[in-house]
Amino acid sequence: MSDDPTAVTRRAMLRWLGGGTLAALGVRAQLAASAEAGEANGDADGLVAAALARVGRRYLEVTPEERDVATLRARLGELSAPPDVLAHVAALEQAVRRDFERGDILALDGWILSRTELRAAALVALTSPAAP
Amino acid sequence: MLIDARDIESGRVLRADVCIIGAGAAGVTLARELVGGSLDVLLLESGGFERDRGTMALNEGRIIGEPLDPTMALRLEATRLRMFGGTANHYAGWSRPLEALAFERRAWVPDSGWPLTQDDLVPFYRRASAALALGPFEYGWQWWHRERGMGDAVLADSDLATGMIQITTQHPGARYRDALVAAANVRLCLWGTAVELTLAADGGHLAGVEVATLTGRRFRAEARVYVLAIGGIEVPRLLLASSRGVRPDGVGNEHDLVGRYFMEHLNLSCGAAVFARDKDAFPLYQMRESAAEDPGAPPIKVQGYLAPDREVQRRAELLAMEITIGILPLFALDRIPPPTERLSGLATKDVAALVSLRDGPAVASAVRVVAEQAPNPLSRVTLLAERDALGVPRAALDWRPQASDRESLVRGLLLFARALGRSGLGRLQLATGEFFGNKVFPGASFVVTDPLAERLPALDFAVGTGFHHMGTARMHPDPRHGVVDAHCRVHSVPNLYVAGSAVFPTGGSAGPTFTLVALALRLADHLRHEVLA
Repeated sequence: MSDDPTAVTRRAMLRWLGGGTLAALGVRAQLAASAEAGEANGDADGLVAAALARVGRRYLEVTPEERDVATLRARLGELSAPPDVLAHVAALEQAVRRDFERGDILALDGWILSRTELRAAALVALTSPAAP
Repeated sequence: MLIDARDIESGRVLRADVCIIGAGAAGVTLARELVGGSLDVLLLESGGFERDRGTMALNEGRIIGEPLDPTMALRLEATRLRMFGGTANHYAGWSRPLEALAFERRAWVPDSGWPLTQDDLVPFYRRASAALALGPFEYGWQWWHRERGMGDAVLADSDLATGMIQITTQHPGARYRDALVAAANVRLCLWGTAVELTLAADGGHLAGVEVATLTGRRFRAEARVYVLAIGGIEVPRLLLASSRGVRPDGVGNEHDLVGRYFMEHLNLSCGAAVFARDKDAFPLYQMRESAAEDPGAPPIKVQGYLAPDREVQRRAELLAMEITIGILPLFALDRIPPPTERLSGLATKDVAALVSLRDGPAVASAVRVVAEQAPNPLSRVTLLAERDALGVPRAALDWRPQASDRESLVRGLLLFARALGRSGLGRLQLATGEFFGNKVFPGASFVVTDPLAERLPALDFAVGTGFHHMGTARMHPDPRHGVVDAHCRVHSVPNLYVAGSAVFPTGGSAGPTFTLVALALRLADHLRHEVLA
């Protein structure tokens, strides 16, 4: 793991963003692969990404109408493509908190989760090589 | 003084000033208060100091309503102990005062309201603290934070408030046994079961108690005052079964209230939570040892709990509830998966990734809730035709929590879930997703993924109970609405009192022992200073 305390945050966010942003940074294949492969080799970043992908896939199972990257990007709006990836974490957290505040939450296998975080996780799932 | 009912000749009459029937937490506390005074006290106990199979069989009855704990197939007799110390021998020691709001008449809780306030009971709660060898009479988290270094409360700016539970290893039976046996003015009579309360011919007062033993002896106890302290099932059983020749509906039952309003606490391991913190981040909510107030008493344990804030309860029209958490490091989930994990397509560890995006630590927790059951006149104890070995009709329990009780529990948990998410502290899983939907929480949209979703409208998810039998001789100043008055005196029988949780008009979410001990102390004062002075 990196000594940089923001490193995994940044990478995790890159996975969340997926698609164009990753491609623009030139790390798409590497990061997307880690979402699945990371679990096997014990890489912490990969474990996080794989976990997010599983959450995302579960969301897509029950919300099939959102099962494409364009739809998810559209619904996530600015969260899917701002210029500063670190700003994304704060913005995402804010959006998630707003979801809980106003009740835009879902009971997914009993877990009470924010719709925004589930869509972001779904984006990770769809941009991973093993995505359905 | 200790006597054995099996040695008393049939036909004899034991006379006393006060006859206390039942040596459980309430009866023992009351008797102990009267030790050394001028009153002659007879404390009748059906069992002995140890559990006896034949005596316990007298508790057998039938559950004809909702099961008390479907996962354990709990039988009625297993929820009570007929022995010295009573069902308090099951007492896990969890103590805190009944919530102030639970004493009030709440517009959204039919038949709520005590003729007492929490403030009225505070002096007796303080004495109950000593009786149960608890810590200082402090139940606000701030004191424990300041004086005992227990840590900070979480979610302080949310809809939830933090309170404290004290856990004692002591109960009145164990604590007072020697004092009662040694007392010159108290006769503790073991192995004698009260089988009938005999009213005077005009029904105006209680004339005596018929006592029987499993060895075939039958004798009588007569006193100026009688106190029935045999728990929320046996109290109505004996009242309903007694003096039918004088009162065809039983003793104290002129308004068909005896046995009605049976309440339990809905007790549920309701799911898991993940927190974006490390395992040491919640010291206030972890059970920790602390000194008892009495330096000679063993240490107590203290634990914080969360509950919807009092004003939130009013606004959201919620019943009382108590949420406790037990933290596990995430890696422990490999060895101890949450009970819900096997039901779930979504693993706790995966959800933990959502709360640790900044790569902070994450821990998991089991979540347990104890919730109030609102009074329901259809939830009741009645008599069966079948009789026990001493000829007393057995009890049938028709426990009927209502859908609104479960709905309140779920809505309270959703407040917790939203507070966790809104604060960034974590996420909550409710044990099974099947009972969530717009019906219970109209402010949110839900995707219900469980195949059991069709059970949603009935809100009939299984709940456990706490062996807390309350309400069957409820307290109310008006005899049309209560069996006993504010002094626990049976309205229609002025020399008969009821001690114990049977008199609770509502049960809040606090364990009943602390409150019933406080009420027993209050009753002792009343008998000493006002009735028998």
